[in-house]
Amino acid sequence: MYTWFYLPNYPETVKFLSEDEREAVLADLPKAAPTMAAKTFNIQQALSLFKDPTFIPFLMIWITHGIGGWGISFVLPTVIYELGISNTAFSQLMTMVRPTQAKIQAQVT
Amino acid sequence: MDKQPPFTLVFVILHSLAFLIHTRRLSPWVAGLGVEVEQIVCYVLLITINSPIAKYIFVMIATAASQSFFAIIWPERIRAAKGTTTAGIAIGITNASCQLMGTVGPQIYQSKFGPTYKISYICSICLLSACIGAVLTSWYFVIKGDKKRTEEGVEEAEVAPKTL
Repeated sequence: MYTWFYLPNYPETVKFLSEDEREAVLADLPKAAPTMAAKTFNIQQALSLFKDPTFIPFLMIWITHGIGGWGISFVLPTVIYELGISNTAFSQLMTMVRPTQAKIQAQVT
Repeated sequence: MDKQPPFTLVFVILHSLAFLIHTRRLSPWVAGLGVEVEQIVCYVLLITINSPIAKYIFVMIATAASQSFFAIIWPERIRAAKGTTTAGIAIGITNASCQLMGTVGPQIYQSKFGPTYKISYICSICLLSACIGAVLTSWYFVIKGDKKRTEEGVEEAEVAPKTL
């Protein structure tokens, strides 16, 4: 709900930027980036996504890495337990560090 | 406390890679492939070694590598999707497929495979090898698409519809 109402949709609608800053932000975006002027839903574009040769490989990347790569986090508790130190409450508290980092990363990238 | 080092390492690795990519010293594809290979090496080592401390270190590196990967490839995925509608659907489908990690992931890492998790690691290595194949294929098609567009001229911005 909060995102729907308070996050700006496009650089053009942001209130906290001055005109110069807005132009700088827009100039930094690639030309084919989503624009405010585009139609809400373009069927041709939607179909072009499925015809695009990169669609399947990208999907495969996300599926294979999602399962094969992220699964390692399920092992972490066992490995930590094997180390001989375990304090569930405290280690749970420390997992909070992760979303915080993710947020910072998202802003940087 | 013990969970902090892995995620701190994610933070450090991802930021250094992001810096190199942003300053165009490193291609995101090369970085992505490097991260995948690093992860496979970690899994192989995790199968072969028994020392808990060494295991912890390799799990830490593998976690860091796995979490950095999507963030590195993400901008390329969005760049490959031309247009507002396409980008929207591409983001939706990609994120939806990511949910598989929550459903299939625990199946591979069932506690009955523990505490060595050898079968799980072998499964992961297979999946990651497939992932390297997928990365190479996407890379090939993205380069091909880029070349085609440069031949046709500059990538065109979407034209505003007349009635707004």
